[in-house]
Formats: sequence, C-alpha cells, structure tokens
Amino acid sequence: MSSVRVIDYTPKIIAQVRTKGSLAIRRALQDALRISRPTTPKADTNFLRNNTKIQVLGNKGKVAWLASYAQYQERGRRADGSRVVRNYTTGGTGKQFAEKAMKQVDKQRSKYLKGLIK
Amino acid sequence: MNIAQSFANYLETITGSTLGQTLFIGQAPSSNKAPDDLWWIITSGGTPILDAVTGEMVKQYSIEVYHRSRNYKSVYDLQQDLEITLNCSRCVELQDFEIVSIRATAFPIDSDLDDEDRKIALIQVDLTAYEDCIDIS
Repeated sequence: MSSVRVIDYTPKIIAQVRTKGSLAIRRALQDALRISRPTTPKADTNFLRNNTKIQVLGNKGKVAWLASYAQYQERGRRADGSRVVRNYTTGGTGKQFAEKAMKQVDKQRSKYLKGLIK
Repeated sequence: MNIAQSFANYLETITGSTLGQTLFIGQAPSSNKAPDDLWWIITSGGTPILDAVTGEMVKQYSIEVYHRSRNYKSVYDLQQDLEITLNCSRCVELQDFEIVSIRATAFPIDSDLDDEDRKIALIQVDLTAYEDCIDIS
C-alpha cells in the first residue's frame, strides 16, 4: 500500500505575495514622488516639493503633499474654478503634477514587482 | 453576534483595550476626539466555502487589525505578540464562531499621515470559521 504526502504551501505563498506586494507599493509611490518632483510648482523655498509623505499599510498606500496649498496647485485653480494659475515661473512645472506621476507609475506597475516574487 | 463584534470582544481580552474607547469597529474616530493609543478593526468577507446539509456553513473572513501609538517600540512589540497569538488557532476563541483556520500577516509599521510622531501597525487576518444557523426572527 502506498501513501501520498500532500504539503499545502498556499498560506506561505499568500503571506509572501502580501508582504512583497506591500514593498512593491512603496517602491511605486517613491517613484511617483521622484517623477512628480521636476514638474511640481516651486517657489524659492521648495516647500511643496519637500513636504511629502508616503504611507504604506498592507496592500494600501498613500502619498501626500502636505503643503496647505497643494490641492490648489494640483488643480491649477480653486475648487470652485476661480483663481486659475496663468503663469508658472519655473519652466516645466504646472498643474496635475501628482496625477501625471501616478498615471506614469500605473503604466509601468510590473517594474515595481521585479525581483520581489520568486 | 457578527464576526466584527465577536473579534472585537476577543481583542479586548488580549490587548486590554475597551470597545468604544480605545478599540473601534470600522474606522478610527477623528484624532482630536480619541487618544493616540488606539486599536481599530475592519472586517470583510463572509464568503461561504462549505455548507452542511443541515444548513451550517464554513465561511471565510478577512480582518484588518490596526494599532497606533506614539511609541514605536510598543507598537512593534504589540504587533508581534498579536501576530504570534493569532497564528495559533487553538489560542483564539471567538463567541458564536468555531475557528477552522486562522492566519495572520504582520506588515511593516509606518508613520501616521496625520501626525508624524505617531506610528501605525497593521495585521491582516484570514479567518475560516464554522457558523451555526441563526434564526433572527
């Protein structure tokens, strides 16, 4: 009589995918910040560019621009549509710096998983 | 009793937290109303994976356990202790649920976006539990 031994590695794989996935999200968000930096509007202080924070908890990640006027700069106008920014003094900078960076990151998402899952 | 309530009650006993004061279901309350040292859980699932002819079911749940505090060491120690406890299926006792399997994954601790000095830890729990039929009528 023969016997078969079955080892279930599913929980191990799930745990590995989760922890490595978390790391991939962190990589992606750090890359988003790097991509957004040259296009983020700046004054002499660089306050908007330098005051950012990334938070990754499990499979959810957030990147935040902490300056109180960050959302105004991202929209390029007030929420009600008024006060449209007409001139950016630093060339190459402009509105939607965060959205454009996130879209670029989204296009190359497999890059952040490279080398993590074996 | 639903899974969130049952798990919160269990968490109360092992973490020393109090539901409604330092432990919450669904979300952490606004920062200025709550203490820094806080637990909260978010549950999802309830997917039936096995049903008995008599009507009882085995269901799968996912529970996220968050803990925040100003002290990184205490957040880390509690997270690690809880992960060890939750990965021991005979250690966990939930009212109205019989645990078939439980797996917990601890994730890296990160800063709270609302307050840089505050740290947040997350443990993701996959729970498979047997449930009796409950007549709510």
